[in-house]
Amino acid sequence: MNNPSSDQELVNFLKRHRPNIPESEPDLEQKILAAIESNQASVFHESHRKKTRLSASAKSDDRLKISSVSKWALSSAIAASLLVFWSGYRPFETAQLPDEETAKLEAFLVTNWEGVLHDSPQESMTDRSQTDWLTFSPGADNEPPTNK
Amino acid sequence: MLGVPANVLIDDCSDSDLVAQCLKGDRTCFRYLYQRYQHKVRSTLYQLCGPSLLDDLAQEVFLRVWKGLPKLKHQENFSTWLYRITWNVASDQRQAFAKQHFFDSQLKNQEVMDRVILKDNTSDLMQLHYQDLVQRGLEQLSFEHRSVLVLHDLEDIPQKEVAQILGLPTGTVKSRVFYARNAVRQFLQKEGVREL
Repeated sequence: MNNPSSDQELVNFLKRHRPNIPESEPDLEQKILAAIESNQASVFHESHRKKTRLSASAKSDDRLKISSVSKWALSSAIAASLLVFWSGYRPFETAQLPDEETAKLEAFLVTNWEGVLHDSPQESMTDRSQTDWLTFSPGADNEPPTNK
Repeated sequence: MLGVPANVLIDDCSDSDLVAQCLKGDRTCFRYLYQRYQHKVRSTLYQLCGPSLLDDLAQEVFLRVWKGLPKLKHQENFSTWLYRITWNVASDQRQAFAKQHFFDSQLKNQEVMDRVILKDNTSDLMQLHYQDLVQRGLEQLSFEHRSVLVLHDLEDIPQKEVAQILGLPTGTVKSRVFYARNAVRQFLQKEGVREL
């Protein structure tokens, strides 16, 4: 265990023989002041801006809350209406065909319906049973049912 | 402005007064703070990091001080806060040295000794020898133990304040001082110093 006097002797020795600090550069002070000058604007303007912002925010705190709520509500409403419009519109949207395809389809429909309405004799002979149900025959309907 | 241009009167101004003026953007008062503390800052940095980059580190300390002034809550504790920044800068630099494998203490010692010899031809050899021993004795300590020894024993900062600077309990500072002194004493005695 060391006594206080030997501690003090050690401390005195260290202080007496501590290495000399090298001289600083002659322009060190100027360099530091120049460096802080370039920083001054940013540091203190930032500080001032923060203070200004704090006082302004204290005054308009309620207004900010209200506006933030309305902002959320407005954006949500817009998003919801866009979603509804898009999802509702898509099923009714028909595929757009090229003009050539449209013309072909139209021609096919016309010939198809013409074929149904105006049967050729050949067809009526061979495939009569398939189109019988389309023809209107009052005589057959008027006949009373029979139990044969 | 304080309206007291002479340094004689500035010496009477407290740190708090100067800090308050600095916060208004008065760079002249910051110059006074620099002049008041630059020696202590450089001395601490030198003992903790050696001569390499000493001026750069001192510049870094005062730049951090300037930037941090708006955040300083207790202006009366300016010196404690300043030492804290100094220690942080030294600590960062030590880590950078460790990463770069850059710190060659023997070379630094030789540089220092060369400078001392060149600067002061009247210094006797025994004084130079003891300075070399003290420097080596400090360097063989860990950074933590050296920090408390430098701040407490060489910079005369009370243990309680050292504890605040380093963010440690006072008991830890006390035990580190005890350990560091013993280690340095043993080193010096082993090197033949009889007067301890």
